[in-house]
Amino acid sequence: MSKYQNICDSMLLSRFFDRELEPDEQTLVREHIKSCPSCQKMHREHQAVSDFFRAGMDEIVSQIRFDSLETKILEQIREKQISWQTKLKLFFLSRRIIIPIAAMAAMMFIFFSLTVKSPVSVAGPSALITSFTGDISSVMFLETPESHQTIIWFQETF
Amino acid sequence: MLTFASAASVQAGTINIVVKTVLASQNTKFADPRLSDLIRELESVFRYSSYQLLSQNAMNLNMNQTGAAPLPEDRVLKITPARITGNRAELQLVLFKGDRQIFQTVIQLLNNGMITVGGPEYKGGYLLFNISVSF
Repeated sequence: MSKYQNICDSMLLSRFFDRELEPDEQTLVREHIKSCPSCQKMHREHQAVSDFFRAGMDEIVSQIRFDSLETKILEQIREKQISWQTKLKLFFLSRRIIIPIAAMAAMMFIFFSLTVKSPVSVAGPSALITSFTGDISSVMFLETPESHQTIIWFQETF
Repeated sequence: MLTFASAASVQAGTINIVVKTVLASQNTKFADPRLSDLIRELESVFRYSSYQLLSQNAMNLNMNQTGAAPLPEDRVLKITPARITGNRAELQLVLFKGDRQIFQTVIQLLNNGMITVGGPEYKGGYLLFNISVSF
């Protein structure tokens, strides 16, 4: 208990909500919240925000044909030898991982697209995204499986 | 002849840009015949059952000249070509809603290629902005 002078610290609570604390710290804060009205209030607010974004993201993701994408991608892998940077992209798609941090995705995309030569048989994406910034809550970069049309899907903030 | 026209376009530094605004939804089953090629692409990624073309804006821009496509609900997409490198045109896209800037991005788009930007909710569905270029 003496580890923290003030458990009601917003940064500490934020790390608790994101499950970034060590197990003993997580337990400590969880116990504290049970008896602290202000931390309970913060917890409810954090939960509401998380639920809001999760619901929006779930709705968007539910509209994406991951199964179809995954099947076609795996077929292409079997049919032809493809570059390692494409395999990396397929890894992300096949695991249904969404990267909401636009800059990170864009920079990785551009890095791999520009620094490594692709085999002639593999067509590049219709668009290379060199930067993306905005007042948005999430963004995804997609590519259609056959003709590699680039899609940017974003969720506006309100 | 086509090759000559294309070369002249590059020399003049102009880019033809078309912005199609599409409403994608699951309310009905409808495929706008003017979007047949685009729908085939989108259906490989999305599960929407209806794709309706709401508007289409064509513009011919010089380098560093900004064109604006009016979009639903007071949105505007501003497009500025920066340069042509090989078979790609570098474009800056900036989306506004009213006075507020929603996002800005810089892309390198293939000649005769397209990119689709989507996400805003509209009339029970989602807006997609399909941007194609030729030069």
